[in-house]
Amino acid sequence: MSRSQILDDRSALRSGWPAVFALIVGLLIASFFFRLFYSSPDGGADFDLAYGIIGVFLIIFLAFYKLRKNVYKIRLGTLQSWFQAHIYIGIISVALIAMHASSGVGGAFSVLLVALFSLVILSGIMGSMIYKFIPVSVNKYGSGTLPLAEMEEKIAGYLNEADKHVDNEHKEFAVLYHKTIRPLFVHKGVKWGYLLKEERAILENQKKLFASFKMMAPPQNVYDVSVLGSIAMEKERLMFTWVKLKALKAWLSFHMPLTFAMITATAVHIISILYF
Amino acid sequence: MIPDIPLFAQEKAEDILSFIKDCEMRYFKPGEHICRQGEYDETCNIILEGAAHVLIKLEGTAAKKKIPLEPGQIFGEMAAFTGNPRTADIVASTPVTILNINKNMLFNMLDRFASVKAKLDQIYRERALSTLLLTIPIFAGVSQKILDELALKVMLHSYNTGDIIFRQGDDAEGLYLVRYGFVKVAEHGKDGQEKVLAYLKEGHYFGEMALLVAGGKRMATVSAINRVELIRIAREEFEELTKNHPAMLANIRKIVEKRKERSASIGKDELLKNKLSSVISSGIIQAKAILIMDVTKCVQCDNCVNACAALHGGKSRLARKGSMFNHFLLIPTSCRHCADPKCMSNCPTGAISRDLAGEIYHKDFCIGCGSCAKNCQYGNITLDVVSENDGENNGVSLLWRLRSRFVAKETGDNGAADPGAAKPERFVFPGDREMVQRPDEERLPGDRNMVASKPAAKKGKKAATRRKAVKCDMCRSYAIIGCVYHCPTGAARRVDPAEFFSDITSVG
Repeated sequence: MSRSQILDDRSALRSGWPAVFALIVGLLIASFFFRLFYSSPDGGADFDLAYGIIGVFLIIFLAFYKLRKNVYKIRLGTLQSWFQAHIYIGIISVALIAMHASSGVGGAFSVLLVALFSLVILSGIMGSMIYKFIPVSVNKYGSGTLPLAEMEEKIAGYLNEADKHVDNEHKEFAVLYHKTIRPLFVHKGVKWGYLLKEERAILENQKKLFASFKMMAPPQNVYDVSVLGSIAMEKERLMFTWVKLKALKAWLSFHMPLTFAMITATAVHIISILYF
Repeated sequence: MIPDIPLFAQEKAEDILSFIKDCEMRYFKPGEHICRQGEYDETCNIILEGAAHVLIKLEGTAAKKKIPLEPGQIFGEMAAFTGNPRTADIVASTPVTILNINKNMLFNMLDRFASVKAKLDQIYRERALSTLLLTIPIFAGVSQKILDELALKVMLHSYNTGDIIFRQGDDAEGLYLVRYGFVKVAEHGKDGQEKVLAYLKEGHYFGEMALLVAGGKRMATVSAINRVELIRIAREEFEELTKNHPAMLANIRKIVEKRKERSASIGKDELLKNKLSSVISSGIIQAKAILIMDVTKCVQCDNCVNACAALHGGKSRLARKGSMFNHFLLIPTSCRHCADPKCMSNCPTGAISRDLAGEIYHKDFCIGCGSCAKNCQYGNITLDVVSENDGENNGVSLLWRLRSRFVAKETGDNGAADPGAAKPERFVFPGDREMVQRPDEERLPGDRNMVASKPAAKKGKKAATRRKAVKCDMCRSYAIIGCVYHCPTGAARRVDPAEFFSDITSVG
């Protein structure tokens, strides 16, 4: 084994998940057509049951990803392989559950189960999109490498920085600052709206706003407004990054409770089937 | 036995004996490797009994040159002097007994005995020259006799960080071969601005362009990036050699053309130009195993940091912040395992060491003086208060230990060291990286991956604490690199920069 292979641990990239995925999907499609055209109605029910059982096992396996993420001392394969397996098996489970329920969803509880399952899958798709696009967009300026807590501290700290620029200044300017400009620096938590906005548009808005402040400020304080403007731009840029990074973590607060609810509902579904 | 060793011939046997009495004796069976090419081991060895042979891999072929070693001969002095990896395999030809002298002991001996120093310097020079000449691709077709003659004529030069080897516009007086270290080749424009053309490492050569024309002048300035040792072949020797070996000359001309093309392309390609400068200025090129994070893949889950903490007694040795390279690669605060590690230079106890695979780590007897932390220019070593039972492997899971015992039972390995025995085969899991174990480390019974931890302090009794230098040791006690293994998106990777950035290394 060469040194580069030792260092360059990319076993997950070498794993054949796409091939395994294609094979399983192929087998599922074949089995589904077999069930449709060749098996007897009773046999069809057996197939549905088999799809359901395999689907449940896959869902349990998917839930194990969370456990694997927190196990560091036992070697169970790279986390990257697990993550890829989580995505691919997630997609396969959709096909299985769809085939399991293909003969119809009967009863309110089954509808609830399907709804929960769909929500989990949707949140999973949303998560993989977030994982794919957010890191690229936040790291455009390199600010995304700052840990979240430090980032928030820095955003809150811009208020102090701005305050320093108005100490002992002209009274008229102080009033303008405290009434109009200062509130822009007060950190009021996550601005989720930024997720849907273009960074350039946000910064343009800030520019316009500070241009109007310059008109309102006494002539001797125009430079101070420019300085405050650049601080505000920096804050907005960091806020933009921070909101996106928060979204990276926040989506899990949908995905995980939904998964938990779905697993609970699945357990109830199985018990009720076995009982009745 | 001592008087039979030519190295010590001019010294009194009892004086030498008083010095080497604490050295370790090692025994090897015929065919067993005493050391392997590429391993980091700064000890030097003297054959006391038996015979061995050196195997040097010849460049461009699968063949290896075999040089016999007889009783009384020394080997391993090059690695001890330079801290570089072994340049050849040494294999026992018969049952062999060797005297293993560690670096500190060797240097003390050289300070004390002038005749030993003179002799060893001569051996070092001869071997350094002949070994390098054998492994440089441009000498591939040149006969051994001519190389031996050349080795007698060429000069060995050492340079420190920042030293200028030659300047642009200087007269060309010779061809240089890099024995170890890194050099920077840079061109200065009319505006005085520096344009880095290449960095060169061991095995590379430079200064040939100006030698191909009579009265040629240097076209670039070459300086040492770190401690460098070069072999200089004078113009006359070079001309004679190329006259007798037209194929070699044709090969050099081809490489010169490639280098000229490359130089022109660097002028046009801003990205490549910046990449070259950054690799050198950030010190990345000196690293042997650097942790990089692709920030376009990093989802900031901090699993790398958490894994590091979990594997190292709750304290992470990795901070997910640092300098950026090329706008998308984060070089986090984590040991780079430099080729020329400054941290290892002033350790008073020798507690900071390099293992056979090249990983730099602190041994348990570190006194926490902070010398290594001060010397690390990247701030990757910290001092921490650790409790005596805060060994890395105290946290090893029960399952892992059970696995170890199972493996021991299966393979019959009780972990006992047999100095003469060949190394047992290691139980390898798919995807395992090779672990190289030093013989002086205690092992858990049956576990070939882990170093035994000290017994935990008794319940209710407060464990004693002490200061210790703490740094990334590439999880050397485990068979994985934690931060990389536990990264869900593949953003974190440990790479050898010389290979990872191979697109910007020199042509040839």
